[in-house]
Amino acid sequence: MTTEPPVTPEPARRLSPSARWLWRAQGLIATVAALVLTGVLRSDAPGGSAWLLLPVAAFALGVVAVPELRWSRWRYEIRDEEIDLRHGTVTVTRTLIPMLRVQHVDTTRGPLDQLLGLATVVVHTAAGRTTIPALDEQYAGRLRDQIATLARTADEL
Amino acid sequence: MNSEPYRLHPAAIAVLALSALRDAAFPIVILLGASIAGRGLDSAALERSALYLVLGVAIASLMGVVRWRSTSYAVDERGVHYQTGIVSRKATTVPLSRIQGLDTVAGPVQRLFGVVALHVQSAGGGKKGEIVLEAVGPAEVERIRAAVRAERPELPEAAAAHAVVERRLGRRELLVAALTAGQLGVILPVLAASGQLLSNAFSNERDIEGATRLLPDTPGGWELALAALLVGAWALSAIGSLVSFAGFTVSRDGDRLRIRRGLLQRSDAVVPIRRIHAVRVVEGVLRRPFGLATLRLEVAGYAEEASAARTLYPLLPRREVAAFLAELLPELADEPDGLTAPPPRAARRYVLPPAVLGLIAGAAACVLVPSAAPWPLLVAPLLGLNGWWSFQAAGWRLRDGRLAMRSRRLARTTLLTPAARLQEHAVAQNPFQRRAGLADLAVAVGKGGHARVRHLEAPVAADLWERLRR
Repeated sequence: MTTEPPVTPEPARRLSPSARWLWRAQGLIATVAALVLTGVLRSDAPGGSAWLLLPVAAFALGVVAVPELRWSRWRYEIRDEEIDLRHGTVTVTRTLIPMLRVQHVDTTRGPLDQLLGLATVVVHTAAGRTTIPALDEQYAGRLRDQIATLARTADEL
Repeated sequence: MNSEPYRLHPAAIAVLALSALRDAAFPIVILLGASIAGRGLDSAALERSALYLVLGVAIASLMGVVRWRSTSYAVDERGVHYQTGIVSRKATTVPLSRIQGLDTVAGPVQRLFGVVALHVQSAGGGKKGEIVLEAVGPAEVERIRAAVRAERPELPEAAAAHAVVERRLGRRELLVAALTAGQLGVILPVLAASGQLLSNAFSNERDIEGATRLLPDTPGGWELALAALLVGAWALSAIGSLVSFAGFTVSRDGDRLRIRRGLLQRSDAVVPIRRIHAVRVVEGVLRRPFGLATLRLEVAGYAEEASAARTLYPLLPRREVAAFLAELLPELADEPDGLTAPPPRAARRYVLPPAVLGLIAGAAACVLVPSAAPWPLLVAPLLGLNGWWSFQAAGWRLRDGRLAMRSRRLARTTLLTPAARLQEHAVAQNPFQRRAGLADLAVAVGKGGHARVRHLEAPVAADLWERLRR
């Protein structure tokens, strides 16, 4: 090897802190679903009240642990020629999307997003879609425009 | 030099009528099937079917005549001109400078009338494609050849001599391809369909009672039924491939690939080379023991791709893959062998998790259905064995900007792609892998094509990730 190529710096930018509240709200919905399920099962399923652990576990995981861990792990970086992502609660994935491959980019906002003033940036390539979730709404708009501009400069099919 | 329009040989009526009939064959068959399935097979249904058939032939013949009358061609100093259509008139001109060859093809109908179909092959880049004169007499072929040669003396005379590279699937290859087409994946839809059929057929309870009496009640009967189902699925997939791969021809013409195939419905797809992002070498369960593979294409672009363009070649000895690609698709040619395997300590990570999952599922099944115990536990070693095979299949190589990745589910698949063509790539690590210093590498190519090699050395995976970035 002639010269060791420089290692790509880790992505540094974080999602909005409200992302945790978004995911907590989603976790809460899952907990309620688990509660309903328990109510259905408890009466005659074998195991009796052990089923009560189900909503407790759902709450501990979905509302307490996962949102915090997920938020602390999520990093992204938009460079001139690529989008660099690092995310995942259990499996940590680092993804790279060349700007050349970005076909179009848009922002979406679900009901919970709107409540919290958040938005998701969706990057489309020929192979599919990649999301940067739970960004501050105005910031997401700017990010979308930035990626769109970069993608246009780097255009190729 | 004459430029007056000529008409095709009248034999073209038969050729065009048959091609119209062939295009309509599928809808007609479905129509017949529906009318029989809808009201049951009785004499009325037979009469109706016969009527449809006669009507179909009559319409096709009429279309043959109309298309023959509305088609004309001419050769002059500018090129070969071709005009066809009544409702929407289509005129095509291939300039003499772009003519790559004049091929004659004699199908069964043409042979019957002693004529040939003349293919005017054009050089790459042209979106219109070439002209096909469906039926031309031998004297007329000579006249056209002479007219073209007068302007293009350097043009080779024989069809085989020009620049187009072509591979045709032989009859024997087609048969082998069909016999080995059976994928276990085919069985599930068949099962689902038969389940649907049963539930439709026996929609009230009395029928269900009747049906249960029909079901096999001895253990041997069940095995027999299962075997019959498997054979049925296998036969179905064999027939399916016979129909879709009959007459498979792939040719390289300048900067595009042309793929023609199909028995009932002849499809003809043209793929620009720059839109081909990867080739997959797929070795199915039934093909791998014989060292056979299928080549598939990963194509990207904004437009919908014809499904006919997904298979590059249905059946090829594995060791000929590199040579085949070098000839037809040198832009993506690579050797599917000589890959770097994951480290030996990764082996148990391929084997243990599925085996443990199988053990848990098997144990659960034993508890729920005690009479079946201990057979469900057999799933565990089977899944473990499957994992071992996946470990042996896994491998990667990045050389001269060409990436090769091999993995296995049931079929072993090798992805060959220029690294610069990747849509995205990623490394992933779960907590177990973090502790063991291993990582997965995953890439996406074309339109939703994915490949993943699991449990590489983490530094190797990270280095690959960096190298793929450039």
